[in-house]
Amino acid sequence: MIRYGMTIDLKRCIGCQSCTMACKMKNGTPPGIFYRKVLEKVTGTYPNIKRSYIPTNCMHCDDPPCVRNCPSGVFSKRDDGVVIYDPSKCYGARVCRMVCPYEAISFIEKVEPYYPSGFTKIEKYWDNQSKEGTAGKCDFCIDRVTSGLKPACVKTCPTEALKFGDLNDPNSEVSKLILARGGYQMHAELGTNPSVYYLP
Amino acid sequence: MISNEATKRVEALPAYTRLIPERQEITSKYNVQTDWKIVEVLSFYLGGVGTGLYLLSQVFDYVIGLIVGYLLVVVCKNGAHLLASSKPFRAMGVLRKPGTSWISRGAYSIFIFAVLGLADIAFRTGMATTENAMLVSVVSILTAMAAFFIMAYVGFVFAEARNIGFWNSPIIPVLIISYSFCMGYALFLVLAPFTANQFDFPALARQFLLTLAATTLLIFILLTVVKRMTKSAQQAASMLITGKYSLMFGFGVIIAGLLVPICIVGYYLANAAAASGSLLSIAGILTIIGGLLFEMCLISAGVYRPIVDAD
Repeated sequence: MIRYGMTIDLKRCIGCQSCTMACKMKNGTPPGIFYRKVLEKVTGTYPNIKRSYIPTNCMHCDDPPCVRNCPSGVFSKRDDGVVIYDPSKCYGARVCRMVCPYEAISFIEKVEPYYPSGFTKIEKYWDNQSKEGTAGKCDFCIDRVTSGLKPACVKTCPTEALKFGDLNDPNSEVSKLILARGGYQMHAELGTNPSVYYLP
Repeated sequence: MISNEATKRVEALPAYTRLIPERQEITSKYNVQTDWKIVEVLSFYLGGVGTGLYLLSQVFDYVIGLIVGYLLVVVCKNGAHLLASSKPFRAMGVLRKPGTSWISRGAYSIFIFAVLGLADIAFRTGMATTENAMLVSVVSILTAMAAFFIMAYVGFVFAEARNIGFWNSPIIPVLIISYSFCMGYALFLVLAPFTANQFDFPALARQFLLTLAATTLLIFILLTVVKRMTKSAQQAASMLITGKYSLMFGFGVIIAGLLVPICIVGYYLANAAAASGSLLSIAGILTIIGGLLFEMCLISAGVYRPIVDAD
């Protein structure tokens, strides 16, 4: 059984936000909504200062709290481990945002156009207004993945810090990287068993 | 070096040009949830008061209390939920996941309460009659169970919130049940003087005092336990004790909402012969206000667990 997962190489990430942009372009999210973020951390004191970047997105947990707690079944886990969502079922309880330990779920409160002249053709194509008042999150670009492509962020990353593959296949690139580099999961102590591994 | 003019030009650019999020530095800053606001507070609060009053009114066979409790839950609580929802016309979808979601389970109990509560009130007021005494008893018991479940599920919704350390505690459901009974007694004592029913007020006052004391104790236990919980929970507790909400929590909830009513009820019991019954109503009003402030504090102190830094 396939279990899709991702590795994020913290040594390779340069914080260019290309993945953030790729995600935005792929999902057509409205202003202020980011399914993928790159957090920055500055450590040390002058002159010994280090800046590091930590990209975050939905962790596609094996035991996803959003799937369990959403009363209207907006979120569901596929057999391949990808947690998908259906905004047409969302009625706006927002309990998903309270239970997700990774702050991975965005709530689209109000959709405003990017440009003052109103919604552009591409924004109308994305039909974001129908998503107003609903939750949204990263779905590993499941439509791309099922077509044999990589998620948009993985495809775009210029330093190849992001890798995508089958965690259950010991010969996959992600499995090898996790083993070789000692990949770790964020908040593993919570028992959600995320499918995203960070490579230190 | 960027010139001042260049900086001004960049700052003057409209927001739509900033497609990339502003720098999100990982610091020890704790963010507070902003998704649940006053309408959600009201829905949880009205459910607690309404079910508390309904259950007590069942015990004391107090019809006005039953009707007020029923309306608070079915009309006001549900109305607040619909008001809080961004897509109220999809609200029936809430019934999809009773197996895992506490909100879904709560919705089912509200549905059962709405139907059976109406029958219970009809039987008790004589609007509906049946010769089958068993049926009346079953309806009454099932309504009471549904009311208790409505009272309790809110606490479990909070306790399931893994991202919010302060709520993610097993004490929260017990505290919410206790507070609901407390507010139920409070509203009962406010409404009771306006009816012709004869109640044993000293006995009611003793029970009210017991729930007030239990609730106060549970709040102190929660605040004590928080010190051993996550950093975000400690942050939430410090917001309530010494921070932004200290006045609302310290004065509104603890002093005016619990300790003063305890003193008033204690005084009433010590001087039952001479003391006026309106003292109990005053204690009740203070407790009801304190209960609302408690729910506001609980929601406002929903501090998120930091995403990256260890908690």
